[in-house]
Amino acid sequence: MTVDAPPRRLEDTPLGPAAGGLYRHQSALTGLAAGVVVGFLGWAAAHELVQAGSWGTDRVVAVTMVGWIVGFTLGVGAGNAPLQWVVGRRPTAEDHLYWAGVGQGRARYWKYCTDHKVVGIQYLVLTMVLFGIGGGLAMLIRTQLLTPHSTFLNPNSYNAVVSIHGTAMIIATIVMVTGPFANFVVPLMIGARDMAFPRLNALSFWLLVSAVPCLLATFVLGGVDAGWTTYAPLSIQAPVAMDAFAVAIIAFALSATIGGINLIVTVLTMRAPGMTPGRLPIFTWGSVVGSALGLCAMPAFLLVMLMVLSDRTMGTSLFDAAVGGSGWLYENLFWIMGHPEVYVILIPPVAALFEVVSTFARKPVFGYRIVVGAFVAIGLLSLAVWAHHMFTSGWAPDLAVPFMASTELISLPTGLLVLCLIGTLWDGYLWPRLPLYFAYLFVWDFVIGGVTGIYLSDVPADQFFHGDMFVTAHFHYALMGGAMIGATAAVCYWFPKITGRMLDERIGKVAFWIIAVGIQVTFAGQFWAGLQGMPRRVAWYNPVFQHANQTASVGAYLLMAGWIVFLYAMVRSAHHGRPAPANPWRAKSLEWQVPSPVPLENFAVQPVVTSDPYGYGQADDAPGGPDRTVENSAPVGRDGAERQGTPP
Amino acid sequence: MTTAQSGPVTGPEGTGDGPLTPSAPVDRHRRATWAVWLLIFGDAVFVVLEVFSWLYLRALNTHGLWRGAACSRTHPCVDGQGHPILGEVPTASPTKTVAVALLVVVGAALLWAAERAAREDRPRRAVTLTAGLSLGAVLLACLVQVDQFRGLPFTRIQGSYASSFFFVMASDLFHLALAAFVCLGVWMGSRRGHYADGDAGEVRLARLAVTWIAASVCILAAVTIVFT
Repeated sequence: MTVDAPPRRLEDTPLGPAAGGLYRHQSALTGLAAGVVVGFLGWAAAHELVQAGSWGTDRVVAVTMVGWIVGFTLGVGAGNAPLQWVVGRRPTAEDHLYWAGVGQGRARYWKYCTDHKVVGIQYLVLTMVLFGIGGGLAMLIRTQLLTPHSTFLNPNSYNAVVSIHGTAMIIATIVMVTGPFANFVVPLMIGARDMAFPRLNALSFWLLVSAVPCLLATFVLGGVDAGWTTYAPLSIQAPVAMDAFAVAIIAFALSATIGGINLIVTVLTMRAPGMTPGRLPIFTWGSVVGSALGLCAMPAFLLVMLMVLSDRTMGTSLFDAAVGGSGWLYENLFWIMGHPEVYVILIPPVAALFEVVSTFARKPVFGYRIVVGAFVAIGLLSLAVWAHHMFTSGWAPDLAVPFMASTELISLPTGLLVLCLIGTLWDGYLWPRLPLYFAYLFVWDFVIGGVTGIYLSDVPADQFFHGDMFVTAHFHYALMGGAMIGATAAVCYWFPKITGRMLDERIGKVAFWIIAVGIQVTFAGQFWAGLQGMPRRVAWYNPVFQHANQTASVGAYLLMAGWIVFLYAMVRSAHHGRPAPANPWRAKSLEWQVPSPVPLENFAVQPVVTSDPYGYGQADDAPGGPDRTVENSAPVGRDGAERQGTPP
Repeated sequence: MTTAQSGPVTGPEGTGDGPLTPSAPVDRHRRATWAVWLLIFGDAVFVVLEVFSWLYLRALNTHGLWRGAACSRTHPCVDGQGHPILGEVPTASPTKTVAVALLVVVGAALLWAAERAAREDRPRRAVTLTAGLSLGAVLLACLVQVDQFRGLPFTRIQGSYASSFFFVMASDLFHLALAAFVCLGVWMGSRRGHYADGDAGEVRLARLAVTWIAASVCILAAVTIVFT
C-alpha cells in the first residue's frame, strides 16, 4: 500500500521575515568567513601569547585549527540554538520550519539544514569529495611505485601522501553509509518524520566539513609522515602538520559520536506503530549496530589524539618512552578504536546489501535472526581483538594466543553473513540490475579479503606477513572491494529515492565492469608483491618487485577510470535521468512507499506497520511477474509514471 | 511491508516529530533521556580509557620515570626538555583534588534539588536559587582546579605521573566547564519561567549530565590519589 503524501511542497513555502532569526543570514559562506577570521585571531593570539618554548609552533598551529573549527561551526549556525538555550530563550515553530529548509529551495543544501534528507545528500556529496581526495592521492602513490626508484615524489612527500590517503579513505568509508543512507533512509524505513535530534544531525555533518580543511592543511604544514596510524613516537616527532591532523581527527570523532547517538535514539524511540524489532529492516539493524560500535570506539580515537596534542603542545610524556611514556599505550588506545572501526565501516554496507539482494532476488532475507545476531556478535567480538594488530610489536606475548583466538572467532559471524547473503540469492528470482551486480562483486571481493584476514590473524603467519604488501592487499580487498562496493550498491539502489531520477544503467554497467576488473588487478598485484616480501609504506623498492607493482598501478588507473565513469553516471542521471516512480524496484520496505523526491515530513499520515519488510514471494513476485517485465520492457514510462496493472 | 493509514498526526499534542508536527513534551524528554545516557556511555568509555592509561603507565614505569623514584643527584634522569630530574617527583596534594570533587558533587546535589523543586511546582524562585547555587558550586570547582594547576609541586614534563596528572586534571576541567554551561542554561531557563507547571524534564536531563560529570571527577580523583 502506498502512503500518499500531500501534493504541496512544504520546502518551498515562504515564511515570515523573522523565521529562523540569525540563521537566515548564515550559510557555508558565513561559516567559511567566520572560520578564517577566528582561525586567524587564534593564530595571532597564540603567536603572541604561547609561542615561546619548545612547543610554541605546535601550539600556534593547534590553536589556529581549533579556532577555524569553532569559527566555522558557529558561523554556519551550529551555535545558535545552544547559545539561545543557555540564555533561556526557546526557538519558535517558525524557527524550526526555517531550519528544516522551508522556503529556501536549493540554498538549503548550503545551510545548517535540519531536514534529514538534506543532511543525507550533504553527506553523500562530502563522502564523494573525500573519496576524490583519497583516490587522487592513491593515484600519486601508484605512480610513485611504477618504478623502483621513482623521483615523482620524494620519500617524505610519499609518506605524507600515504598518511592522508589512508586517513581520508578511513573517514570516508566510516561515513559513506551511515552518513548519506542512514540519514536519508532510516527515518523513512522506520516510519519517522525526521531524526530524533535534527540540529545535532546537522552539527555532526558540519563538524565533519570543518575537519576536511584541517586534514588538507597538513600538506602545506610539512606533511604527516607517520602513516595513517600515526604511531608514537613518529606522531610526536612529526612536523607541525600533525597538530592539524590531530585536530581534524578530534572533530571527526566528535561528529561520528554525535551522529551515532542520534541514529540510535531515532531507531529506539521513533519507530512507527507496529515496527517491532523483528520487523526492522536489516539496514536499520546494521546502522544501529555500526553506530553503537562507533560509540564504543570513537572516544578512544578522541582520547588518543588529545594525548598526542598534549605531548606535542604541552610537552607531556605520555607516549614518548625516552621520558617515561609508552608507544605501546598509543598502539593499545589506537587499536581499541581501530579494529571496531573496521566493523563500523563494514556492517552498514553489508546490511544495505541485504536490502538490495532481498529486493532483486524477490526473496525474504535468508536467516533474518541469524544476520541480526551476527551483527551483534561481530560488534561484541570486535571489542576484544585489537591486539592482533600488535603481534609483532613485542607487547604482551602471552596475550597473542587469546587475541588470535578471538580474531579467528570473529570470522564465524562474518562468514555467516556471507552465507546468508548467498542464501538470499540462492534459488531467488534474480533481477539483474546494477545494484545486484555490485552485490555479486561484494561477495567475491569480501571473501578474498576475509579469508586472507584469517591468515593474518594467525600469529606465526602474521610474523611473516606483517608490514608487507600482503596486509595492504588484504585490507583493501575487505574495505574497498567489500565495504565500498557495498556502499556503491546502496547508491545504485537508493539513487531513485534520493534524486527522484533513475540511475543510467548502461553507463553504470560500463563503470561496474571497469571497477570490477580494476579491483582484481590492483589488489592481486599487491598480493603478488606481498608474497614476494615487499614491505609496505616504502617509496623506493627492490627492482624484483617491479612487475607486481606495475600490475597494481595499471589496475589502480583502471579503477580510477571506473569511478570517474560511475561519477559521470550519477551526475548525468541526477540532472537528466528518467524521472523515477515512487517504487521502481517494487520493494516492500517503507521508504519506497512515499513519493520521490520525498516530501518534507515524509509521511502525510502516520504509517502503521502490519508485516515484515521482506514479504516477497507473493503472487506479484512470481516468475514472469512485474519486476522482470520492468527490466525487459521499460515499465517506467517516458513521463516517469510507474506502469500500473502489470500482470503477474 | 504492509502499512495502514492511521490518520493525520498533526495537532496540538501531535505524536509526530517533524518541524510541522512537533512531538509531545513527554516524547521529547524520552528521546533526550536516551541521548543523555548514550552520551554518558561514550564519555564513560573515555574516562575508563583515561584510567587505563594512568594505570598502564604506572605499571610500566618506563625507565623508572613514572615518578622518577630511581632518579638522584648521582643518577639524574631527564625531563621532556632535557633538564635533570634529581629525585623522586612529589605527588600532588590531594586536598584540592578532593575539594574539586566535593564541589562538583555539591553542584550535582543542588541541581537535583532544583529538579525536585521544578517537579513539585514550587515557586520559580526555589528552582532559580538552587540552580544558581549549583552553577556557583561548579564555577568554584573550576577555579579550584585552575588554582591546583598553578600550584603543582612538579611540572607537567617531569615524567609520566606528572604528565598523566596534568592530562587527567585538564580533562576534569573540560568536564567542569561543560557542567557549568549546563547549570547556566538551567538557571537562565528557570529565571525565564520555563519550568513552571511541573515541567521538570529539562532540569532532569541537566541533573543526569551533571551527576555523571560529578561521578567521573570523583573516579578520576580517587585514581590519582590512590595510585600515585
